[in-house]
Amino acid sequence: MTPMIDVVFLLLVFFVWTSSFELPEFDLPSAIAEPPAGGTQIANELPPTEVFDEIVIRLLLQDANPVIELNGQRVADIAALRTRLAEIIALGVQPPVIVDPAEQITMKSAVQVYDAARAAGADRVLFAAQPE
Amino acid sequence: MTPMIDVVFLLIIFFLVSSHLARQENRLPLDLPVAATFDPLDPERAPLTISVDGEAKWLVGGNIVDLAKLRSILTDLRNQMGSDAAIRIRTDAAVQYQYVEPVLREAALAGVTDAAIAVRQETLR
Repeated sequence: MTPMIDVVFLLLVFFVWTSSFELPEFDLPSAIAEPPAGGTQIANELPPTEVFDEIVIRLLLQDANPVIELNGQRVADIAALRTRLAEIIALGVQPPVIVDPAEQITMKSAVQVYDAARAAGADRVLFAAQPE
Repeated sequence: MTPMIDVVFLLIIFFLVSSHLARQENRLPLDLPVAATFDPLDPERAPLTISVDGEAKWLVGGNIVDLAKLRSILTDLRNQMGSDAAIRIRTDAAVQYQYVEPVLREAALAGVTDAAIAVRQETLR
C-alpha cells in the first residue's frame, strides 16, 4: 500500500507543479498612424467625404459611457461596428482603419474595437496618436 | 540501489520545478485586454517589452521610466536593431489610452514600426 501512495503522491506533485497557472499571452500586431508632418492633428480632421479613403473610428466618452463613431456616425455597439466594417470590406475595398480613442478610454475598450476591426477583415488597422 | 534512484528522481523533479517557476516570474502580472484576432507567438521575434501597470507607470525591464528615458531607450533600440526593432506593449486593461498613446507615438517617432499589444485569448476568461 505505501509504495502505491508514494508513487501517486509523486505523480500528483509532479503534475501540480508542471501545470502552468498563468494564462497564455498572445500578440496583437499594432501600428500607429504617423503624425502628419504639418503638425495638424489627425483627430481634428473632418471625416473624409469620399468615405472609403480611410475609415476613422472614434471612441468618445459620454457620461462615462464609451460611444463609438464610425466616420462621424454613431454606432450602437461593437457588434454593429463589426457588421458595418465587414459590409464595407465586402465591397472589395481595403481602406486603412484608424482607431482614435479619446484620452479617458481604457485600453480594454480600445483593444476591443481594434480587435473588431481586424475580425471584420481589415488589413491595416492603426491607432491614432496626437503629436505633442 | 532503489533509494539512490528515488533521490535522483526527486532531484530531477526539484530542478524542473524550480526552473519552471523561475521562468514564470519574468513578467509583471497584469490584467491584459482580451482579443480574438491575435497572431500566433513567434519565438524568433525578440521584442522589447514595455509594461504599463495599473497605476499607468511605464516599466522597461522592471525599471520605471519616464518619457525622456523611454525616448532614449527606443532610439537605442532602433540604432541597434535597425528595421528589426520591435516592441511589445503589455498594458493593464483598465489603463486609459492617454497613458499608452505616448508609448506608441514615441515608438513611431523613433522609427520602431513593429509594435504589438499583448492580449489574452477571449475564451479563457
